Amino acid sequence: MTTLADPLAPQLVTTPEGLVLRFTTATASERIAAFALDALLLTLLLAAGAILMACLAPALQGAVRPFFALWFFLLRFCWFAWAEIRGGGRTPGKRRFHLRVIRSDGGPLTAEVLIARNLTREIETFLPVLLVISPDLLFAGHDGIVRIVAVVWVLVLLFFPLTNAQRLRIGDLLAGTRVVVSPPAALARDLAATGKQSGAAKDEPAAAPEFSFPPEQLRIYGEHELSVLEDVLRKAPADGKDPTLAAVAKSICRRIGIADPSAALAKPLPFLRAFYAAQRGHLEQGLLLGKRRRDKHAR
Amino acid sequence: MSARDDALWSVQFRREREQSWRHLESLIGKSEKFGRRGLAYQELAKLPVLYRAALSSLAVARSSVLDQNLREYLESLVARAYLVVYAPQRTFFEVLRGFLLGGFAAAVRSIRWQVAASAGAMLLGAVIAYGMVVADAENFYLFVDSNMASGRDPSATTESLRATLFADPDELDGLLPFATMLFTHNSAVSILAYGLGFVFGLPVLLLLLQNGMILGAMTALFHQRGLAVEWWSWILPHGVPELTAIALCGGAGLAIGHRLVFPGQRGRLQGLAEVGRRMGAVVGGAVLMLLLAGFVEGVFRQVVHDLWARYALAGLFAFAWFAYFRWAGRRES
Repeated sequence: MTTLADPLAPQLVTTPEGLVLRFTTATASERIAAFALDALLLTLLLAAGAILMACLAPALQGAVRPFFALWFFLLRFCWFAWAEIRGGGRTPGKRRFHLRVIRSDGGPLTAEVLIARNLTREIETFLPVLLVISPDLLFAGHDGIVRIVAVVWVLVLLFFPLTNAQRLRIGDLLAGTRVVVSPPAALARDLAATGKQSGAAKDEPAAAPEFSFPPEQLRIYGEHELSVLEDVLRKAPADGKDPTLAAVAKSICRRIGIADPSAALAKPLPFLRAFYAAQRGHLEQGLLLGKRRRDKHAR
Repeated sequence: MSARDDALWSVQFRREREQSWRHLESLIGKSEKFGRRGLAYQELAKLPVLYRAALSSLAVARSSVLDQNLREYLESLVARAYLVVYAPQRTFFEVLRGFLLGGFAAAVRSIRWQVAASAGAMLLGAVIAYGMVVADAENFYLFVDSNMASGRDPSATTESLRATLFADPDELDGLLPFATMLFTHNSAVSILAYGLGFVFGLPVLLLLLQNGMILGAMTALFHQRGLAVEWWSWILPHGVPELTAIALCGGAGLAIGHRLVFPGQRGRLQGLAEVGRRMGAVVGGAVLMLLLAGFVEGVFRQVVHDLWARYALAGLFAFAWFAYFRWAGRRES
């Protein structure tokens, strides 16, 4: 059994081209948020239907109630499946939170898959909701032990997703689907690029010769430290006036053994940029030759 | 290209390919927003080419580029592109057509024994209730609650019982609500039967037994008053599609429970997904059958009082469903 603190297991899908793609599993809170939004929309649709029927009541005569019952039925049992089929595995709520349904084997998301995963919503969400809103309807004519069993049973279904590492609902199990989160990632500028592409074009051509690093200074750090440095640089303000930068520059100077760190400490941002580019070039060179250095502890 | 020779290898790599990634990104954005129809013909033709190019960029980037942001971008881009490129191609109506012309029947044929078992459970319930009500009319109340019976119980006179079988033509206003109520109720029960399959199928059997018992108790009541022929003419026209649909959903629930208990060689998770998808199709078809049953029940049965016409329709349904499940979609599979 997993706990809430465990990281969620990602879903790996092998494309027909043979590359393994890694989909991040959506967390329970993301899914609850998406569901809440969908439920809100559903309620609004229900209300809109009711208002429409009320306006048309004179024309429909006795047929208002059946039409409304049919509308309620469609929303309750068909809306989620319809919305997911239409949106390629994304209801409006899922869309808002960048969630989507995929098949665990990566195959095409056909209508039957989406219908199968949505048929169980009745016992997973509508029953618990009914339990809260009007328990009498659920327990009609029963008492005592039956009620307790029913409550336990409903709670088990409700919290089932929290008991597995991929937050699978029963519907996900039955249809073989996963809900993954795929926010669109933006391509930021290349920190190692020089010239027009970079933002600080003015002082950088001058900066390149200013700092140079002999190979023995580049053998200290590995890929992990490089990605941490990338994070620092991407978050740094453009004017370079950030105490973090100075602190990072200082510790790098000490670690790689720069005898006189005063030039680096005077201009921490250009120094770190130059070091990043040099370090990345060094490590990538190694990768091309089949040598990988994961972090500074690697031998 | 006037690329500086001293630029990093990975910087050149990105510079040469960035345009094609951006192009792919814009096509995917459009497709995610508007569907495939959002793409022009030329764009559609380019999509797989750009996708494969991005895929190979990702493979290279994973092995030899250390720009974290670039790698994350490509991972996300390729994942999104993959889902667009390998999305199902068929339209909704093509899917529906294939389903009605054979997919449904084939899915039902694949669980014929489970359907037989679920029909058996219903029959067993009916027989038990019938026997008990015949033995003592008071037992009727064990099986049918007063709300559902709405006056059709042992205390009613034979005449009033007969009246429930032949609706007053003056009261036709109430037909549509009645039909809708029956349809939504039965569909809800059927979908419940599918969902309950997940608990090893046991609640499904209970649900089916209970449903059968209501039928059996009612049958006993009407038989004892000498209304057998009228009763069956009332129940069969809609009962044939309706009881079949409930048996199908029960069978679907049992099939899921069966696979859960005996997962077979491929493991529970995969086996469950495989059977679950197939059973989803069965339940979808059954809901369509219930729609038909609801119509017959709420309108036809109330308007048509001729016994022979009622039996003829029931017979026609029985034959049509049998033929459909027996033969439809055989050639394809």
